[in-house]
Amino acid sequence: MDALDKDLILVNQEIKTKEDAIKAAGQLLVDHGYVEAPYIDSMIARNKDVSVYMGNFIAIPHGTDDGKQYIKKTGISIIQVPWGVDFSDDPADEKLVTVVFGIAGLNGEHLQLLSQIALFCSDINNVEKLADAQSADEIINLLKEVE
Amino acid sequence: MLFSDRETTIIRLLLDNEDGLTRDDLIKNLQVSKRTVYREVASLDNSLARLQIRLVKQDNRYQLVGEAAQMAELKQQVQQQPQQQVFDVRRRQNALTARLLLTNDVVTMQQLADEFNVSVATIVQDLNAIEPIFKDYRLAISRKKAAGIQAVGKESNRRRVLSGVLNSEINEYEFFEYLEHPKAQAQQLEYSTRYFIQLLDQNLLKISFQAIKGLQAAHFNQLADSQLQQLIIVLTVSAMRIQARQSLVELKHVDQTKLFKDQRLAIELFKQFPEAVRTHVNMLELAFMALQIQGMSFAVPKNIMLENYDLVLSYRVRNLIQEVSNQFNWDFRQDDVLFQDLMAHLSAALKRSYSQIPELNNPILQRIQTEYQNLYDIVAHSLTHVFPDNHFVAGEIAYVVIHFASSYEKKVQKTSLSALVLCANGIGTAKILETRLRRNIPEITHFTVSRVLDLNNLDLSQFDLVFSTIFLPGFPMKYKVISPMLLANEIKEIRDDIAQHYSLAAPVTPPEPDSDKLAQKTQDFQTAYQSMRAANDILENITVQDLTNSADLLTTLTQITTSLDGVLLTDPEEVARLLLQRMEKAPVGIPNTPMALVHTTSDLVKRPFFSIYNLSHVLPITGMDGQPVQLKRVLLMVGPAKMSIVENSLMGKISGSIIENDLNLEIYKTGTQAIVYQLISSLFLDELHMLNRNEVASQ
Repeated sequence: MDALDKDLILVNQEIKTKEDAIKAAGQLLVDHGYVEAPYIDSMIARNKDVSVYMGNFIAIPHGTDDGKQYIKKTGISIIQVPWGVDFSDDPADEKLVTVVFGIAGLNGEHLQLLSQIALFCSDINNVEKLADAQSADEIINLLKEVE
Repeated sequence: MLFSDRETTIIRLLLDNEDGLTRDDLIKNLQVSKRTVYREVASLDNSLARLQIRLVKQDNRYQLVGEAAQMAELKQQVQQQPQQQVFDVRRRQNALTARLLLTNDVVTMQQLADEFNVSVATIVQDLNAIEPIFKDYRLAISRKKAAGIQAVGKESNRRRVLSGVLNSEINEYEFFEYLEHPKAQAQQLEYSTRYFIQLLDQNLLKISFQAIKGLQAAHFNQLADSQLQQLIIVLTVSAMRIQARQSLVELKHVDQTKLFKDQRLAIELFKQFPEAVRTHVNMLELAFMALQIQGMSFAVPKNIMLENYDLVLSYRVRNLIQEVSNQFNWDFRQDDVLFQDLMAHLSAALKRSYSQIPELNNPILQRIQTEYQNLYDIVAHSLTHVFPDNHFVAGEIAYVVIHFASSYEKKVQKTSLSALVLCANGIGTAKILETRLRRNIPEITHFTVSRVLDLNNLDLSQFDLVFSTIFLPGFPMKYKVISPMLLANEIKEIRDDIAQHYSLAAPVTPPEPDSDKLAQKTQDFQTAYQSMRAANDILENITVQDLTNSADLLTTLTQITTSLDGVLLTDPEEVARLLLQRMEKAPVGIPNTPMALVHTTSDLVKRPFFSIYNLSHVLPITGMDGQPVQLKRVLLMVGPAKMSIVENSLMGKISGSIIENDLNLEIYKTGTQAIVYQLISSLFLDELHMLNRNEVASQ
């Protein structure tokens, strides 16, 4: 995966709510110059119309169409939450997420990013490895083989 | 060069009337509006220019003017072209449905009348006819005074109806011919197929076709052409709507985890589209497309009862199940889902004309081979035995094994186990784990959550299973360490464990007598055929309809029987009286519902019949429990005094199913015709298997 940047990966995070998880993923993109700050709001807005929960314990927050103007370059942020954060709207219907991928894709590149992440995470063992990883380097090593 | 249907008609008219025709003549002959005639004449003039023929207007009459040779050529061309074709009513209504759903604009009735070559009054009638379909899918036709009409409703439903209509109207053979050779085929297509194909954006259709074709070998191999067509149409429609900025904004009840695999395919498909579409593909679009793909994988031909039900195959599948049951020492025969799945799977597998490419590195198949080695060997052996003429590659066998394996897993006896969940961290994590265990491992009925610190206060002997998120050195019981998120493979391990230790294997009943005599097979076939015909007759006549009834019970019953007079029964008054008599003898109201099973058998009835009537007028009757029932929905069941064993058991199956479980009850209470049909057809399928089985056993 080309778009990976070690600075955009945080491991061992404890996050209480899905909003906080999305904000954290967005903030990393902002801090490292991939997007402008309003992109975070559009990520929150997107999760309101459509859950960004993907299944297999991962969530892939991304911006709305309106938010696209704030993207400066394509990038992925990764937040590992080993104890999980619930992405469901309904407490009875738990959607536990252990790895959050924040994505910003220029020119429809978001599909490319989504497809790489989905491919890798379709094997639950890979998700487990991501969730168990102890450092950003370890995560990059796991993901670098994804084409 | 070819002309449109309407142009051809005008040319024919003008060739036949050398003196020319007035505008009014054309209006009358073509049955279109003045404006349409103007438009057609202008476009025709253009089309004709290439043949150096002109369409001129002299003395208020339109005439064709040109050299004799050119005129002869034109004559020949229009003769080659098929007669102008028009839609029949049903087609036109489908066309109108598609037309309205494709656009978000307000259109006027006049516009539609012109387009479909009918009067405004006809359009109004058509709209009334299609409105129920809209309603079924919670769509509506909004009528705007002085402006026109517009289809409104949820985008997902709009696409479902639109794709459904297009799919039903486009001939599947022609569809693929056209996609393979778009230029050569465009004019050869049958009128209606052409019309409906051309409603689709041709460029997006091409991309959809290529995208799906690209994934076909790896992912859509088991799909029939009709299913591929449906998928291509749904994808095209979605892409068109996305391009028109009509993306989905909500989708109810989606289980993301189940969709994960197909969501990946959806991404691959959308990746093939140009940026205008690609950029606007949101997660919901992916989920929607994934749902469509998933639907395909489970689709069983709707008319399994009809001609395409493969009797020979069903016989062989039955043998396969029998053989595997004997050798694996587990009775798979009671599982009708397994039977149906194998039917669907094997009929597709055997029909594949080309040999399958071996799947070398598929991890799932490899796992099947190692995890279910014994079952794998038995299935492989039985397959070669039952289907001696077919060669099954390892991958193919593994897929068959998957069906057996899942049946085995499913049948594992449910016991009521109690489990202790231990957690190093706070109770919160343990609670998460508990909910996940509860949902995924139904065998466990009692849970106790505890922290490791509190272990001493517990009586460990009361637990069958202990789960812990940490290692517990020196713990006196067998326990299992699991991660708090309870991964899918852990769920599987736990269930396997439970299956192994706590289940009672289903005893295998003595094998059915091995019957190889040809005569017997013939007899089997005859019996099966007759059973199926009886079932089909009942099914095809099922209706769910509204009845504006009288406030009197007997009069209401007579209303119903009178509507069946002639075709189904004679002397409707007498049959109604018999129905009432039966009701008075023993109450037929279904307790706590607005329904009654009104039934009788009589020589006046020609054949078995079941239908549902919604009453406009509520009638007070007595329920089977003696309590009053407010009758709103009549389940009518009638049959001849003498019915065959098969007919009897089929009717019995219906009446028995009504209160069999809550889902059925709800379907009978509120279901539409399509849903009731679906329920009863699946009941019948079960019943036919039973009948067949008994037939063999009793001989």
